[in-house]
Amino acid sequence: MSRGLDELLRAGLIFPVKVDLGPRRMPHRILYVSKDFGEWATTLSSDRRSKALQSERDELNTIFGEFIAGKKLANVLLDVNPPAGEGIKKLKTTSFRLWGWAHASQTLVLVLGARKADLASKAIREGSMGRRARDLRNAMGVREVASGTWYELFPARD
Amino acid sequence: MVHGMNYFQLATDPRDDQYGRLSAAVLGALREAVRYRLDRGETKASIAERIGCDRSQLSRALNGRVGNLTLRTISDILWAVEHEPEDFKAHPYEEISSNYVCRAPATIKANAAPANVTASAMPAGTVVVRTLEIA
Repeated sequence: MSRGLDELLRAGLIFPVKVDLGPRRMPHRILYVSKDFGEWATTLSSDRRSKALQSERDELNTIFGEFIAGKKLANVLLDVNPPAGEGIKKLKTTSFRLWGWAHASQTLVLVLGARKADLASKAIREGSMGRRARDLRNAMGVREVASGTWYELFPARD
Repeated sequence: MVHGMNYFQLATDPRDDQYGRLSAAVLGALREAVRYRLDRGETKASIAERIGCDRSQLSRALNGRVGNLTLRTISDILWAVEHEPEDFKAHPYEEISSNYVCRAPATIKANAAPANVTASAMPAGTVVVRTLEIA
């Protein structure tokens, strides 16, 4: 039997993400992160690097806001293969790779994140991260997820 | 209906949040404009050559991997892919509203028991807001 979002929330395994979307923007999608993902995210630096427009923390916060506001996230949303056919999704940002699954249409749960540079320097293949995300999801007791491509599951508002 | 429940929110500066929204909008428009030409057979190298930079510099700009993306650079990229920017507008905060409500999915509404999540379970540096409005 697959655990639902309400069970995961009650168990403290996931948390809804809140972002100040700014004036005139309304939430269009729902985003959750696991406790471990949250711990990783709060280790990100809030200092802006010299060759970047934003700090790591602001970059992640911006992508959260863009996602929740229903923006079209060109070139950053991917279906993961491997593991093939298991519904793991990947979000690509300038500095990060984030993995999770669509629990329902417009509802994303992120369980794993890594700096792109760390993956490269440690020669970690992104496929292995996809499998780890699948294993984390299984460990939470989630067996059933929404199926479809990013663009079917997360149609943009504009 | 309001239940005690925690959110996850990164601690950020509202000034940086606004910059993030602006840069996301600008970079999104640039990427779409470049993609339009790439889909019609142009290459990043040819677009970069028209601007007078190399392909990697163009890619870094489109990915936000430059410390300072100037108005000139933005305009030059749009010029190179033959796109015209339109109607940049700004509005006073007091004339527009910020209506963020974290809406929980229908499954929460159907099983509307209070969540038993404590602030101590959250990672350090997380801003915890105590109530979640459930639609």
